[in-house]
Amino acid sequence: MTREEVYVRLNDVFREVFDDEELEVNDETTSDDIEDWDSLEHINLVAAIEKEFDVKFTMAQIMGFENVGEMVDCILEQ
Amino acid sequence: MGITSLSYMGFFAAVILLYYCLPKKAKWPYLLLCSLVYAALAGEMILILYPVFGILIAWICTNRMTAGMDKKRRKCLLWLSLLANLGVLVVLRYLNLGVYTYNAVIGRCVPGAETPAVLHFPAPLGISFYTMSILSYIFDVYYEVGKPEKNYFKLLLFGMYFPVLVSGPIMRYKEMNGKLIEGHGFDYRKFTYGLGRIIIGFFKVLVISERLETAVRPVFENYSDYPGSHVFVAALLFTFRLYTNFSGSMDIIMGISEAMGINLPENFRQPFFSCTIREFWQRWHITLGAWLRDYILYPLLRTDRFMNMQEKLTAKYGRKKAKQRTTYLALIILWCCSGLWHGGAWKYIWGTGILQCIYIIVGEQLEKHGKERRKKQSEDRSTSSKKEEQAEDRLASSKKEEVHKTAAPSFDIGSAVVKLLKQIRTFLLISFGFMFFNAGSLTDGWRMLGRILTGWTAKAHAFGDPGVPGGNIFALLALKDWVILALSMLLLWIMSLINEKQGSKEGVLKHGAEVTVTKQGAKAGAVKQDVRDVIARQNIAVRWIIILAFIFVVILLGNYGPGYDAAEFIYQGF
Repeated sequence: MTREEVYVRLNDVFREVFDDEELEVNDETTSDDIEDWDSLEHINLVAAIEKEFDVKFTMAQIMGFENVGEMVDCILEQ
Repeated sequence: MGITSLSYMGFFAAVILLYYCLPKKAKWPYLLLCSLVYAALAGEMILILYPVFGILIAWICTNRMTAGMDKKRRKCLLWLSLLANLGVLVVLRYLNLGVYTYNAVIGRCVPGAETPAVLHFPAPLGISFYTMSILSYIFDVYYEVGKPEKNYFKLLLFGMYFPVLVSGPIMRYKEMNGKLIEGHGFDYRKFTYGLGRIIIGFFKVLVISERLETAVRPVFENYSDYPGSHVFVAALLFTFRLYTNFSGSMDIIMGISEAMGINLPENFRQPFFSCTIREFWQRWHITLGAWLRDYILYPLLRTDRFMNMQEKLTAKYGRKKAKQRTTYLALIILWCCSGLWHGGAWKYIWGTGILQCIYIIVGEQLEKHGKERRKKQSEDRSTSSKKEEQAEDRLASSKKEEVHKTAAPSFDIGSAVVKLLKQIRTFLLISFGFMFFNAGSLTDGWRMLGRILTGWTAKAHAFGDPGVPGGNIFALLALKDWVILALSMLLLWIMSLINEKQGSKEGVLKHGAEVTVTKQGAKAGAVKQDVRDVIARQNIAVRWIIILAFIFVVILLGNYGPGYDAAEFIYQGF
């Protein structure tokens, strides 16, 4: 799977979780850029991403993600 | 040895003096020694064995948890270290919850039946605080977020660091370890800022909190003797009392640590400026909230049971509702843990647990409906304004825009009033919860509420009647004390306002010193500032006038007498 393909599916996950059809994320997107992205929504987002890509993040990774780019790196690694 | 007592201040002065005289490498072992001495002097000496052994087992287990190890073995080690720490906490602090509950149920169902006596297990000082800190270390190693500490004594210092034993904050090993063992040299700025914070803490505790206690305690103890309106006032005053007591003790603790060059994590961020309950708990006892979120809520939502539940609910109600319901269930469990942490009694579980959860869930639902309603209204407005625009020419529409712009300031005033009303609403709701926290029992809490609702206008004795203080909260303090309280609280409000404004400002600090780094600040290399920075920026005369005024206020107006050993901090027993 290429990085672009990951982003196509990842954008759908973000739109679904944050209920915003116009949402578009990239490597630099952080929780500061999305109003509803708080700690609680973070865990829901991670669960949705895990389901979509059939991957499993460790607690260390979940707590350490600095931006969406790092999430995508993790998905591609698995 | 209360931390506002002279003996504690003497202990602190001796510790800090020698700390700065010792060579760098000897500083952390010295801090450990002082912490052990303090823990031994603070209670029964034998109780020190609980943390010493609990931390020893945590150290052995976490050092055995190597990466790539069999999952079952890893889990076994986790449970063993939890048993030695959390298990001890449960036995020492929560067995009586079962006894109380059994006695209350039996007492009501079978009058006259024999009930088991309440158990008395002496617990070591700060057991709830150091246990949480050690648990965070254990979980971090287990989840591979942090590495195990190779040196047992360094871990012991993290668990037993003496300022924190009194009433927190709850620490994270990966954030604190470096700071504790670094061996700081004397830093004038940190030293003076630390002392400044200690004075602010003394002001909150001795001038405000202790004075409030004189008015609040009799009402909580004999609420049926007071009119409902006075019980209501006592409940509001208790919230201020709890805040000044807890945040004041934190100021003293953090000031002591800062004077030694060790910055501790912040526990308060002007909580009474919160517009919602959720925001309040993000500003009140921050380290506890963060702990519960990271070590209860997150792992819980990721358990197979929760994931399966969400899947089943998704099939039945759709993704959004399923997500909402599982999140709410996890929140209920989290808030029960929060209530339990505050104490092994139902009044805590309700007042600082379940009730807060109800507030948050109801608040979110109302907010959601409000948002939807506003969205609908704005959609309606934009449709009608589109029609208008079609009818108007360009000039007219630009004029309209100008009118809109001039009307903007009045809208700002409106939003400020709405914000203030939201803050008052949050304060009232929180005070209601804290009323249960401070009541004798859960039943007493409900009875106090009943008194507020039904006996609001019951007759109170005349204001200031010295003969019959009972029945009138305003007669419990002399007029002079009420004036001191009002002025002190006004000063505290101004300080909080400055902290709120400074906290949102980002500026590189002079002297390159380290202060709490905010999320945004971390990126820009900026730092969070507070009222002490504002004082430090004044010229030398003004600065010293302010500092001396504070010291004299504490000495002259502090609510203590000869032989006074400051009242115990409310959170000290936790």
